[in-house]
Amino acid sequence: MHAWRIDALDPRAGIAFVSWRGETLFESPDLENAPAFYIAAPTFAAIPLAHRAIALGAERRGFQVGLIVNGAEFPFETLEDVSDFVRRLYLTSAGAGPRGGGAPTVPEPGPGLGPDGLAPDGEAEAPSSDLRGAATRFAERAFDLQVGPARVVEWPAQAYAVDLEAMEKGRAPIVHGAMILLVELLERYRGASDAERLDRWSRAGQRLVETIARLELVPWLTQGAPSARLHAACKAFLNASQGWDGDYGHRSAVWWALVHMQTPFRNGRWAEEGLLLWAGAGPGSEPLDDLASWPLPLDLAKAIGALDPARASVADLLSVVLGAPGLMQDAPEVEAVLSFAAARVVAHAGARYVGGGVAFILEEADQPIAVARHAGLAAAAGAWLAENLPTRVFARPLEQVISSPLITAVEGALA
Amino acid sequence: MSAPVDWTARLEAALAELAASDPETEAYLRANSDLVLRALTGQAVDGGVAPGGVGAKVVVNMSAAHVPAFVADGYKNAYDLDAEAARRVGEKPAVSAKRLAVDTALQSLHQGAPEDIYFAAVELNGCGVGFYGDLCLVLRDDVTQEADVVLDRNSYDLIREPLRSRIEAAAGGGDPAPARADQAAQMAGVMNRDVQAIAAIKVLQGRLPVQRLMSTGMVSGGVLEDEDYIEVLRPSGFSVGDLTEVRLTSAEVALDERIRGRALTGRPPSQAELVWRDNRRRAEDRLRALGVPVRVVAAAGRTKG
Repeated sequence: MHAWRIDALDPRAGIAFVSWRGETLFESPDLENAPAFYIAAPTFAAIPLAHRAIALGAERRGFQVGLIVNGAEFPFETLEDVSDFVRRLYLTSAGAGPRGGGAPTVPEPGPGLGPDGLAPDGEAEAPSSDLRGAATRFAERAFDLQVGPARVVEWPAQAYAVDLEAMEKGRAPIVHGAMILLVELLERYRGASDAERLDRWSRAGQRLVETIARLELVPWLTQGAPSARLHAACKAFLNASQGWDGDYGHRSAVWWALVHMQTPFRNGRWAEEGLLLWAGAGPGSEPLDDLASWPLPLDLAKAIGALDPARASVADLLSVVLGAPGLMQDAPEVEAVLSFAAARVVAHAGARYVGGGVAFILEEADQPIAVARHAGLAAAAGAWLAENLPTRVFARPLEQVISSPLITAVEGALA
Repeated sequence: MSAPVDWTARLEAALAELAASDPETEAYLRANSDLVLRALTGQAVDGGVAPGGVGAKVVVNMSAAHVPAFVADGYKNAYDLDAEAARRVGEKPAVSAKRLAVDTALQSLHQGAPEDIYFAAVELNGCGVGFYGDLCLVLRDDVTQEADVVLDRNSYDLIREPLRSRIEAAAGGGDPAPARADQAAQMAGVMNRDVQAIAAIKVLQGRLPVQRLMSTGMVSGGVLEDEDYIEVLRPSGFSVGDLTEVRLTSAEVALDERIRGRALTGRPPSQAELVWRDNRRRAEDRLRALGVPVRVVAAAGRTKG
């Protein structure tokens, strides 16, 4: 039976050669004529080829020949199916191994989120989520599809701006994600035992505080939903970095931790003027530089199948989960970090939902302007996620191929 | 096996055929043929000794995503990677009948084991076979072995039309392998002796024979044009220290910068775009740190740093 079948594939490069033909790649010594296309990152648009010799020649340059699943060349029904397969494989491949820069501090990641996650006090269970619900349905459909063509899927890209309830639904995981990353970074401070690690930690801290400030999330962390673990992490950090051992309340502890995360070893101007937090509003760094500098909690790193969990970053999680969203089901922390990462990507300079990066210690949560901006932010982040999540769910064996971590083992050595 | 091809004689025959007995056209064809030969050897228009580092190069394209592995372990061919399975997904297939057929045909040319052959392409001033990756790795001249086998086209042409039918007819219904090896010999030459004539035939046969002189850009475009290239069979791999430079296409540099611009101030890029750009940045940083120049090919046949 004719179908679109892979002639040559390079998962990590995001390149595939595909042709419309029977299952003849391995059996016949002849290269028959067939409609042939080239699909490549970053657009994954299908470009027609004059002939297939260029595709077979790819094998000589490190491409794998064909795609064998369940003992046969996998058949795709449409070119769009192939494009989305290659794109998703590219993302999971990119996220499976540590990025060159690696996450900041190496030896001592946090103890993990534990069975109850990092929920604010009084919230033992994370609220239900449209996105996580969609991820669960995605995984279930893949499980049901043992064979057969791909099915088109859609993701919730709610218009969070339409009402306050919808906006809060979109903002909640973003705040939760910020909290998870803040705690993880604070808890890694004790591992920053030499100048190089301290420098990397400090850069990651600056980037995180800047992002939190530009997204106007500071009041939500200091007052919005107290978390015992965040409180403890802030106090421990202030004690270790500044020698402060007072009994700070939640708001003060988080505030001063944010202030000192930017300059943990310069106990000067910030400490004196710390009633006002200022973080540059960009354009500054590129999104992936920020995301790659923020370490993942060990639990989440393991959940996404990271080769070296202690070095896994938010950039890794974003790529892997966008390629394999089934990982998000039953994992509110994964959804939270994903949402915060998406918020960072869409928070470019000049976006109407990005603030000036200035926060005041006495500022209250839910100021009218902040509410409007958060509505825009949640909508933009939700739309971006919907655009980057899979457009199709494949039969289970192919979904397993996409989820299989791909590592070029030597890459870690460069970090 | 067939006797080695006399590519100089074949070029003469091609010129005569293209000129179609028109002396004026033949004069221009000969001038353009000389121009191709000089461009490939790096000689100036008025001849003289070729300066080092110019002329035809042996290139291999690779995705920026693989630079970390390449820097650490060197370049690998299909057999190396089959053994490692590090960059494969799905179930491991057997070596395909197609690869076996082509490898068998080529073996009498290079006299080595198929596992020891590394495939490359001849390039003048362009960016190689872009289908295989966004970075064009250019090998140093002293790394390119003068006795390397070159083919005037992709060796997989041996198993597709129209050569396939020609080979089957020559085999007369028997085993096509010997006829395929003979056909391979008809496509083959030796790097230092034949590549200029092979390139001249390729360039001149690809254009209408008009009474105008060609430009260097035309020659560059003709030597390697999209899917149509001159193949090099290297009997050994190479490492980052064997590179003289890495080239980037201006179109992809523009796309790269557009992604950056959108990340900072405009419509946010997709995650795949961010990853693609990130791979390129890290690859370039790594290569530059190791002393490999990275250049942008800004126009046909011209490079800028």
